[in-house]
Amino acid sequence: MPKRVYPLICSFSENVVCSGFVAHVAANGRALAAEEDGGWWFYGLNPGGLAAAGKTLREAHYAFREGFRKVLFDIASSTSAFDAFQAEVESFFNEADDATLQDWNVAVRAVRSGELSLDDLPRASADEKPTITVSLVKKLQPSANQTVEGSPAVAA
Amino acid sequence: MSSASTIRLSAVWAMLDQCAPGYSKEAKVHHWWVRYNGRTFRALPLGAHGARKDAEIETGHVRKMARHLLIEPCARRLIAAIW
Repeated sequence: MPKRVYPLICSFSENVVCSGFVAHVAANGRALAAEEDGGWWFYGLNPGGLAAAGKTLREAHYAFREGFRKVLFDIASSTSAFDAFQAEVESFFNEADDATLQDWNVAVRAVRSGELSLDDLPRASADEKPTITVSLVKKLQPSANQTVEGSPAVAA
Repeated sequence: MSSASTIRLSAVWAMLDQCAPGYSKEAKVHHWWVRYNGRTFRALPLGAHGARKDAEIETGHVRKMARHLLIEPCARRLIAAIW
């Protein structure tokens, strides 16, 4: 990992069309952001198996959310029932690695001590556990349509 | 010295042959899924224009995959240029 990484909290909210049903996935996840390779990289902690890049932090965040969405779409194509979809999505989100978690914890301590900051972003508590909820959409209405909005928060 | 920014998928598969013996890979609609030792990395890019045979992908995805599959020390030895 590069020397300077920022601990971020990222929210996701997606409706996913599956085989015969629509699922809603809502999550508060964690990622590390690093300035490298001439741009920014987001490395997932929850979800652990995801990375994305952009020229700016905002672009990298957008790419990270888009990557998350595409994994959900691939899971939808690979499962045929809600229980299987739910289990696979939860596995994707919860499967993390100790090395990234260690980097996260070090970065959080650096934010708390004032060594590290990203002034353009709001702050959120690093003590909140990451969460994922996968639910069946029972009533299909246009109000369920969503655009990608919001920014990540720095975990402190 | 800056790290290489892209790597060919053939080099990634060669690294996995050594560092993740018995791994499996499956091309989905949007990504390659790579499974090893009970863990799954579901976000390895197919490459520009879809699943071309030996596409180049950004190295950050490979760095993350190596860490996620718990094979980072071996991957660093074989493809040091991407770190």
